[in-house]
Amino acid sequence: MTDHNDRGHEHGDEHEHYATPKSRRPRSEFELRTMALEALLTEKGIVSTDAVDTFVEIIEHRMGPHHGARVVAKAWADPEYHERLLADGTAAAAELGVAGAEGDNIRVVENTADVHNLVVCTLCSCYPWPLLGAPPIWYKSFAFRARAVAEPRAVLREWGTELDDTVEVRVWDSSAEVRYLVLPERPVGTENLGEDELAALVTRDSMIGVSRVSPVGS
Amino acid sequence: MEGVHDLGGVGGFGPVRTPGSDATHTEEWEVRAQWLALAACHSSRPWIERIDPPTYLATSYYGRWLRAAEMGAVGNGIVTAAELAGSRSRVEQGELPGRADDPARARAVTDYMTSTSPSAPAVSPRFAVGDAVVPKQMWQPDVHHRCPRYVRGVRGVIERICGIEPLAGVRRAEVIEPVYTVRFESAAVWGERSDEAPFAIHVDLWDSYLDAS
Repeated sequence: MTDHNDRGHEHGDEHEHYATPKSRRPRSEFELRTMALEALLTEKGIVSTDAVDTFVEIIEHRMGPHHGARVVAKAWADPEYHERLLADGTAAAAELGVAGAEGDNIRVVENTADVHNLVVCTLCSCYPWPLLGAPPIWYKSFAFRARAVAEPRAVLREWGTELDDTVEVRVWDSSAEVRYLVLPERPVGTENLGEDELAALVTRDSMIGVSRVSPVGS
Repeated sequence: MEGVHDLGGVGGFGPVRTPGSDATHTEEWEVRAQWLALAACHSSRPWIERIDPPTYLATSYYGRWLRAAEMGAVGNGIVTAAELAGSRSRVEQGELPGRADDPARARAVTDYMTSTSPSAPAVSPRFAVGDAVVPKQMWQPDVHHRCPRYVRGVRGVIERICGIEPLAGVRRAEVIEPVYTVRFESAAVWGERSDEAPFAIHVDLWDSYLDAS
């Protein structure tokens, strides 16, 4: 295949974006189409290369589940914050500097011994970007979008999450502008941990509601 | 729109977890295509929903963003189909998109991605928490809306008032309505079942989607 880096140098440009794939696979049809559209939209002044780079950098790195985990850990450690978080997720997240696109109306729903929450978006793949970043591939799958509202317990079993029939399962279909975050149950054996240590235990999947936070040492 | 994107309850898709599905994406073009769609479509969801059903179902998540970006860019008069084809053939011959930076545009992306404008509270909403409601039966094949088929005609209860939002699909959002979280019992939506214990489904619905029950 063509060595695109060499071609880039011929033009005297830097081409960190769309650098030659290391795998030496030919570019996919979708990649070619994306490049063609980006080239045109750049020419027309609709986007700039650094604007696209900035979007990728923010959604892939600056946003992410580490922020959701900080929010959860603080709620576990601080009863007053816990109360504020459940009352107004947007404001409580902003207290920790967590805010942004797809986070204008954050609602936090709490798992307890009696209630288990699961978040989905059946119509597309709405997701609380500032708290969790970009959603995993499975969250965007047709299977999850179709099944989470019809057979949530069967979906949870794919994660090994077994719930007694007495536990009330609440599914949240993000069909408008509210973006949901699950506050998982604090695992036993974490009484002596500080917020940073607690945050390290919190997984992305537990904040979507497909799994629990595992007890320490398991 | 009454489209195949409205997937709640559709059978036959198989397991949710598949090898590699914990990642957010696999290739560089995918997230770039998402921004191209956000920039070219103005409102990207209606364009994604306009993808014809066979293509929608046969295309990956980011592939649909790309298709919407192309449709939106042409539909909004930003590029022509001929320009798109020309650019495609240059790329195919090995030409890379030239780097064109614009710090002001990059800053605008940062602002968009990191700022929040919280929803305003609803003033004297039609329904109160605890009220029984039924989402209307409707058929709007060409109009973007956010009322999933699986709850239409099903009795639910207002669980929370979310605030006011521009009505989905209305151009320039001149219609602002309260949005409610409505709780539905699984038996009301899917019937009595032996394979799953009863559960609750919450759907966020604009005021005009709802009738009092």
